[in-house]
Amino acid sequence: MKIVKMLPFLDKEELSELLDSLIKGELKEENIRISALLPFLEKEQISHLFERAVAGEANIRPAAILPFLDEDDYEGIIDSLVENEPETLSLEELLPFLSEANIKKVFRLFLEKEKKQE
Amino acid sequence: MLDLKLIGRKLTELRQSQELTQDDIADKLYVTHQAVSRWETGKTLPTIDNFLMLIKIYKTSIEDILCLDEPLVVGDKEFFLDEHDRAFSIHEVALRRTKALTLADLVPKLTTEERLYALRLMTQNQIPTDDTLWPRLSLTERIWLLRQWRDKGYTLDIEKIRYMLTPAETKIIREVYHENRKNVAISRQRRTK
Repeated sequence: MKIVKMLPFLDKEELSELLDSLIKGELKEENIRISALLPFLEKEQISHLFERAVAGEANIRPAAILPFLDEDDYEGIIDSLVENEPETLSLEELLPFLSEANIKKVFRLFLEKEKKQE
Repeated sequence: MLDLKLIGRKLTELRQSQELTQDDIADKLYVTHQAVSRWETGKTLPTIDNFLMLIKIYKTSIEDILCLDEPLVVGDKEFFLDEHDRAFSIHEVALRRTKALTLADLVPKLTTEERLYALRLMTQNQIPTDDTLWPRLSLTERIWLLRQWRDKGYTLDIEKIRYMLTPAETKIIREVYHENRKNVAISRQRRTK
């Protein structure tokens, strides 16, 4: 039986175990992709995965996780991205998911940073 | 959320209103004309600094260029996903930001991952599942929704969908009702003692 078919029936701990195995590369990608797990993960599991992905420690693009993050997660990401953009994620990839207030915040922070550099 | 396709159409409209070509914009911003084309077809967004340059060139505002104040327009339902950004479409329809289109209309055209993303948005925001959506979902998706109802407090109108449930789905509901009845009986016993 394919693991993907079992996902709706797994509890939080089992999903955590599966996620860790995928991050560590213990399970082959042909059996299941990390992205298939995303709809089933809890908020803190998603945040943890996102941090690992930004650090390049998980086999998934951080941008693929963005739709599954919450508004409060985005706020933290904006601050760190404006400060120092990692190679794995750009501000432009984040923009489509932000609220109007956060979009304006990005532009304001970006302008402030530009002024400081001048 | 931003609708990349709508922004693309706005960028084209603003450029044409200034009688500029894609090459003119590419020269001003030191990018390729292919990059300008990708922005205008809604495939990618300009970088923040290019956005700021475009705002200056087109003498407009962030709100205008990003179409922040524009209402969601649903033309032909059939072509909705072609006319708007997919992630944006799923987000707006799952959260019922439009009355012209429901998730049941969209679901057959979505990938497995997009469908689960839509369902997750619905459950997180307590958007009720209507009886037109239920028959269009796969067994996996339906079981997942029932588990959200059972474990996470997602509001599901069981009576509306009861006649469409498979034996496996009915079993989940029976277990919950049985558990609830047991809890009510226990609390009654405690009260009488």
